[in-house]
Amino acid sequence: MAKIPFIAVFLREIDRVAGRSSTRNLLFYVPLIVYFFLAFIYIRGGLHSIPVAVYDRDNSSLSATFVRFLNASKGISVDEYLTSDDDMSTYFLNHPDIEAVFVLPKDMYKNILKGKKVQVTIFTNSTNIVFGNILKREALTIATTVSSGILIEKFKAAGLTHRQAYNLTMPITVHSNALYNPYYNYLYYLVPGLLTVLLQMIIFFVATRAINSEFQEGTFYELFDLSGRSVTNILLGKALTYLMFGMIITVLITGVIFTVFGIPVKGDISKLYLLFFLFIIANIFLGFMISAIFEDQILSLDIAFFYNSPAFVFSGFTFPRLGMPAFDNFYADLIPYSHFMTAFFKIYQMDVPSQYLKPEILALMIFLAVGIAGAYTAIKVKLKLSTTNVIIANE
Amino acid sequence: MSNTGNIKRLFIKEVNLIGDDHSILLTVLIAPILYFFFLGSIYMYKDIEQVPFAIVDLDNTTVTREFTRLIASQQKVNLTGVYYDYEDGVRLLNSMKVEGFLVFPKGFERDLKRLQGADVKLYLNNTRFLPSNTLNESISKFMIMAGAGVRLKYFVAKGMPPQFAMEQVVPIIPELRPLYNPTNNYGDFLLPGLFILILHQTLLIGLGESFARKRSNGFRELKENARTGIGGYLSAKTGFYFILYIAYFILIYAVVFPAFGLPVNGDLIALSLMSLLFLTTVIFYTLLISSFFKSQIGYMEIMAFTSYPIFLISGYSWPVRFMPLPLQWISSLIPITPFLEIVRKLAIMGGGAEHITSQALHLLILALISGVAVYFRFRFIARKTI
Repeated sequence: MAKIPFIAVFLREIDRVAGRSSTRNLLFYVPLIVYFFLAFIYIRGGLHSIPVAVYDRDNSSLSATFVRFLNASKGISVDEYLTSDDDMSTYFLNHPDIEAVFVLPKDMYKNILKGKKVQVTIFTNSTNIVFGNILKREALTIATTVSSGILIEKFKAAGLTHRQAYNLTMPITVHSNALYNPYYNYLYYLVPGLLTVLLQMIIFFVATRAINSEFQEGTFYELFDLSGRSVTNILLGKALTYLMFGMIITVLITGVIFTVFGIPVKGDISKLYLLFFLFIIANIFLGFMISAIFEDQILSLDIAFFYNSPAFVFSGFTFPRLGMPAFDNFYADLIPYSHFMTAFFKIYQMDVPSQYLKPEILALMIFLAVGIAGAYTAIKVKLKLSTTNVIIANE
Repeated sequence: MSNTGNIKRLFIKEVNLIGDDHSILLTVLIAPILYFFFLGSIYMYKDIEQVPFAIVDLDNTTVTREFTRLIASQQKVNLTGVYYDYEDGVRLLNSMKVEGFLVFPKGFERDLKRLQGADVKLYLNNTRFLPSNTLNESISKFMIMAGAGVRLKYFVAKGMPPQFAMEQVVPIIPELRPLYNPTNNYGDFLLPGLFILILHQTLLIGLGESFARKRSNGFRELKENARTGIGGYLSAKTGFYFILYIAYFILIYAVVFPAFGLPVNGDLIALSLMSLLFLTTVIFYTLLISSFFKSQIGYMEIMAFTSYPIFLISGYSWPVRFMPLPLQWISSLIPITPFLEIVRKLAIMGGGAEHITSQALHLLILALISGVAVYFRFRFIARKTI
């Protein structure tokens, strides 16, 4: 029975994937090895018990209370106690494991009793701001808590009830709700982003060699005949193949890695799969477009590499786009991942209603349309040129 | 031809190869410069300001309007609008037009004036930590100050002189002094690591492509120049890359770091020596890894996926000691791990040679092991080929 042409192309492409070691590497080994590797880095989730040192120059009951609060804090672990004035400019060089030094000033307790404010200085090694931000948060919380304790006692001593004293100490309470990832879990935050950006690279790379390799290896006309001499069938059959592998990698991400590492998906999984479907197909056709325009496989791969490799940093995932210059923002808009990432987080962590996904879906559809039009036109032009060349040669 | 002449000829041949192979040319000559400034520009402003957020004012009183005005004047936040329905806040958060919203509940002014404990609710989009942290910190600090203002009024009303009252309102003030990155900003933290990674990856890919290409030709060159010896052959073929990347290091420390406001504070001699050692080690690693690949394109495809894992496992952003033990071992096997620590300590923290002894030793051991491995690997290839 005669096969439907695009199905024939699809089956032929599967054979090609199976027979080419580089495509096999990209579609099977890279995801399997790199994905688990990346997830494993962040298996602890959050940074807890950050080692700090305390220099207690007061040695009073108040400074001891402060140190107790530091020790009780989940984010901090007091690992060293300084006894003399270390030079702070070299302290962190000589103590690479300590991330901060809390200096409790001399006469801290005495000054508090006298009604004078005191300053607790926190020196941080801010060469790594991942620690810096946590330490800042903890320092503010602990100082506020101890301050509040002092004020409450003072107001009670002045004759206020505990309730009145508390309300005067904390006239405004901020209830901060860190939605979607309340425990600042880096596994939930970074790993899905890293895995999906690599998915874009994988799909783009394999698609980038899908058309030009046929020309270079002299198999294009065999493919053309198999497709019923239809460029649409060629694109459809090949796209179907890479879409299938892309969706298998999607299952690896959401079904295997997320399950093994306990990364929860809050939104509707079918919605997430539809988004992946659109993201993958857009990248396939963009890759096809490059592959159809540039005959040299290495050159097209170079272009794919330079286009894709900075996708993660441009997406605003770690450093928000509002902090980037306008031209970087413009470039970020030209990468499908930037749009996918926003929509992905809207489903994966935020579980927003579908109407909020419209801008990103529209952007991905524009990429798809550009990819389809570009790939189709480039192949048609190539066919026309080669036909012209044959005619000229025959003449 | 004499051995020196042969080495010179192989050196020139490699330079010509770089000129002829657009992929290698692009990777080692264009990409580093392009990436330094293109990727570096992302972090040009170093930090984020004007984080968009909204206020949902369910109280709509003089006090909440005054609070709104004061919050809007904060440098780190950008108040995009004031709304009077909680659902508006949710809508803005869902569309990611704001990074969070603050709710003044009904009765806020009354509770505050009667000292009954007024509450505000801050909803943050914590899918990304940087804007969420910035917003949280700004609003929390503002409310602490507002609370201090309430207490100040109370003390003054009780007859305390304002100057004395000022001392009482916040007994303990935490004074944060971030060293080596005074504003605790993201750019100063990430950029040094990013620049070194660019050098590492372009060398790993570019030089490796050249050797994978040689292998795909059956290492004909090695066979034809057997007299030169393995050491001579490898020196000739890697010499240009070595010189080029020394130039890049000089460019980084003399131009790129200052252009992005990054310091090069410490012992420059130690930094230069360590950079040379790092360069040598990366060249050894590249030769070793690429010698197992049968095609240039296959090598390039795989190496393109090493950038993220290498950077993340180096411990530059996520500390190595927080990784599982097997990954800590792997991390210690890659040269960028000790080198990034060296750059951090020497260039950023202004340290001296005495502060990097363990990292220098670590890098030296990796250089020696990889050097020996490269020698034996190429001796094996040479024997097989010849």
